Amino acid sequence: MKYKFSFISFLLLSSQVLANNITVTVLDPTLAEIEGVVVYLTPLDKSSINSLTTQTLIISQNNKKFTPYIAVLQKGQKIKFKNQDDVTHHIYSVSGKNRFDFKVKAGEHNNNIDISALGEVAMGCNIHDWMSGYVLVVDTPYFNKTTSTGISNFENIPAGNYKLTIWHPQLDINNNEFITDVLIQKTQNIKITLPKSLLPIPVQQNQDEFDFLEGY
Amino acid sequence: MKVSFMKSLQSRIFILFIFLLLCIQMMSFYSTYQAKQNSETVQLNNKIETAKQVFETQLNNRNYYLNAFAETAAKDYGLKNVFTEDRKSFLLALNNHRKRINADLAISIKSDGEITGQLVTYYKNNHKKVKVGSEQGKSFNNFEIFTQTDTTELYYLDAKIYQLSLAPLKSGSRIIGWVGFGYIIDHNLANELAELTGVNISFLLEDPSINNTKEVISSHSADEKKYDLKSIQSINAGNDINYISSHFRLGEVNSSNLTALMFQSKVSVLKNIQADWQQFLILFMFEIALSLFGAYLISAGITRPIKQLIHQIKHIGQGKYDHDVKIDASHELTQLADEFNQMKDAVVAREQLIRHQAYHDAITDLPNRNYLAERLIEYKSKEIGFIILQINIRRIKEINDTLGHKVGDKVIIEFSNRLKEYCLEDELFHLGADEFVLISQKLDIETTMSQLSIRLDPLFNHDSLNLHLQYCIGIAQYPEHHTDDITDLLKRTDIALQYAKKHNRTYQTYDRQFDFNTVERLHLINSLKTAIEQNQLVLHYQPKVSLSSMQISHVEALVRWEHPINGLIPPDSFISIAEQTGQMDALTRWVTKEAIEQYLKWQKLNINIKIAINISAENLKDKSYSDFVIALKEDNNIADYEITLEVTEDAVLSDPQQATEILTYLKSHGFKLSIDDYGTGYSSLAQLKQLPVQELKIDKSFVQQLMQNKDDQIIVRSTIELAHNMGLSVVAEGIEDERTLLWLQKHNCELAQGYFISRPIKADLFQTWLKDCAFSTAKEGKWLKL
Repeated sequence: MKYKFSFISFLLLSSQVLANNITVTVLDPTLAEIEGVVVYLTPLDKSSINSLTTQTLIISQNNKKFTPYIAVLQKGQKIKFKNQDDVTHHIYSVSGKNRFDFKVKAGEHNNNIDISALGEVAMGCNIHDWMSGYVLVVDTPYFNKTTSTGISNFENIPAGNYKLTIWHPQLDINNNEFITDVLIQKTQNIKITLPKSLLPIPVQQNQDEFDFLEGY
Repeated sequence: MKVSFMKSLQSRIFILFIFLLLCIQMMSFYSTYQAKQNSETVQLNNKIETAKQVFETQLNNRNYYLNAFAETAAKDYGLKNVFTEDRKSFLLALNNHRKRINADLAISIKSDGEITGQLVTYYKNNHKKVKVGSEQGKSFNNFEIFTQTDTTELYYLDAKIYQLSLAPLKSGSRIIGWVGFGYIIDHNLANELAELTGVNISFLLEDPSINNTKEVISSHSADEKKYDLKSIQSINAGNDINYISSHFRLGEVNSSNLTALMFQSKVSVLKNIQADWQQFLILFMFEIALSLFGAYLISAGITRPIKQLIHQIKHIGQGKYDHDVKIDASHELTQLADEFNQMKDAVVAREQLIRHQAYHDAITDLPNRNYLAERLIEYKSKEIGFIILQINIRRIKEINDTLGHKVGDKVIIEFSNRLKEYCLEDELFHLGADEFVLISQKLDIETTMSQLSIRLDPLFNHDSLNLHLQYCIGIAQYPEHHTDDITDLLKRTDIALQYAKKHNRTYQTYDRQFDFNTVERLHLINSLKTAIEQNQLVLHYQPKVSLSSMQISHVEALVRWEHPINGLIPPDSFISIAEQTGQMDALTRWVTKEAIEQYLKWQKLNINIKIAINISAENLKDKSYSDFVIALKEDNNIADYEITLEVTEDAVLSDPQQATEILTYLKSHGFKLSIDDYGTGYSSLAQLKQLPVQELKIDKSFVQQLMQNKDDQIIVRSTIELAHNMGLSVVAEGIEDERTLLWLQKHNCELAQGYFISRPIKADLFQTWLKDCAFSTAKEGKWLKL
């Protein structure tokens, strides 16, 4: 299937090279704003990537849920799994190139996992089947998730050609991603209308009635 | 009496019972049979329905197992872990899972549809083995159908059908692949289900596009019958009425429908019924036999008293009145029997009365003719001699006419009383009206008659009127007057009685001679004609003596009948018959012809005798006889007055004018005419005077006792004188002694005829007699030798 470029409008507000603020608004085919989708800009010129997100990405297991559900990790960035629950979790990823599994006991954390391959890491818990979380490994520091109004803001993006990627595990198109090339020269608003709505996001909730354990 | 079977009351009741019983039996049999068949069919339907439910449950269970197990297996971390890493490890892990539910198929599919692992079971030497399936590495067909539903779908692999359930293999919520497990749908399953449900089960793979069954997987037959594709198809289509079936669609595979067919033959049901049927039939036959016996008893019970009644009534019908009708039966029939008894008594009383009336006279209460007939038969059987008197009261009719029937009846009663007084020892019968019969064993008739007359002769005084009871009696004797039939005796007394009446006698004993006017007479009427034709008649000739010369100068031809059976019949007996039956003319002609021929013969023999022929009134009615006799005379050249024609007074007097004419005609042709039997008729001399006759023949009744009777002498003498005065010659008949002959000669009678001279004799005898007699013929001039 070939990509169809949706209608994209460029608003050129300034011609400053280093101070380009980009606002991406993601809409579904009904033009409703979509919250929580990953938006990232990958410069076509790889050498221009010179910054690494130094902040450790913390994935909490809280109330038997991966929090956040979706996290974006810049390649090389540290990741830390933090068990905030009072039960042990056996976190795994069995697909893709980033495979791992480990147990993290209640209140403990694990920051020894090396996730180096780009792409999606689909995580689960072998103890709590319903737990589901995603980490998207990107090779750019310019990534973000849309707000509740479907907006994703990028500040001080150097001018240049970028690949704008919209990703979400429930975006039911190829590789769950929507890609478009953008030329960034100035501060601009980019409106992306996705060809499909998101599939329902799995509820990280034990669906059994067997919940007497919940209380302890 | 033979009664037709169907008309017998017993048979009817019997048949009615049989009919009703058979109807009831048939109906109960039919309804039982129907109910049984229905219940069997319902049972069968239920069985099929139950089988369907069991089948469905079983399939659902398998579905559930497969689903649940696939879900469980998909969540197995170990399996997940090796899913994309190590194929061999993964297949082993997959097989481990497969073994846990003994699945026939295990499959793993990548999220892009590629089959990464496929394990199938197969049998080798009856051992279940596992091998890698043929589709491993290929892409999975119908991927979406399987992945989008939770349920089991049908999967077609290597010409085998599986129930297959896939479950997603997830990393978190990310589906990274699918694992699935399947059970094969094969003969074993069919057999298992068949065993469980008790009906035949077949799986049919039908291609809806060509509407045909491709393949059938069948259980072992539950009823030990082989079903081929065709018969299964027929059952499936519902065309075979011998089967009850039900369908269950499992799903679609390879664009064909997979249907489970559950069926059972009705034959197996009917077999059950048939097994019962024999038992039922035996019971039925037993019931029928019992019913027949019962029906027989009932019908016999109803009809037995009726039969008794019939039997006893038959007895009564035959006149056996000595027993009363008695039956032991219901009130109604007993009443009927009583009625019969009353009827019987009434019949007996009436029969006695009728019998008395039948055998007794109503007026005198004497036994009647019927009784007499019975008594005569009894007498005959006793073989004792008796005399039988038939007594007739004379002139009862006159008494009835003048004094009335009451007096007539009184006379009859008085007469019967007198007879009763007389015959204390003899039997008296009253034949009716004025006829009585008396049977007496006192054989002496004279004594009997004199004793009877003493009783009967006194005058009968009625209302100061003296009646003389005149009577007349005919008598017959047994066994003298007996013929074959005893009742003929009565005929004979009757004949004797008639004779007595006719001759004014008080009594007359029967004589055989009397009979001629009766029965034999009738017989003679018929045979007279043939007698003339067959020459049974013969002429006798009685000579007449010419008293002046004492010569035999004339003969009278007298006809006799020599009857082949009855012998010689006297002319008195048959001439009157001939007269009454119109044969007189023929008879006279025959006599005439015969007499003339004889006359001519004698002429040739030189016997010169004149001949006299009797003619009757018949011959005087017209000229035909006259012409006949004239022709004879003239043809033979007979001289005048050679032939005398004798005619009675009565014959002439019936039609004197015609007679006179004819007689004149005859006289004119040279015949001598003579009045026969003169004196017996009532002709007057005046009438005689008119007649052209030349001769008078004095009747023998005047001549026979001439010498003893002075009156007769006066009559004869005066007749001769009178005749002579009228110019007639005189012939005297009935001369039986010489004195008479001489007396007549003395008184100038011309001719004499009688037994003294000769009886009538045949022609040849006459010739002999003529030679030997005391008289001469005119020719010979022979003198009487006195």
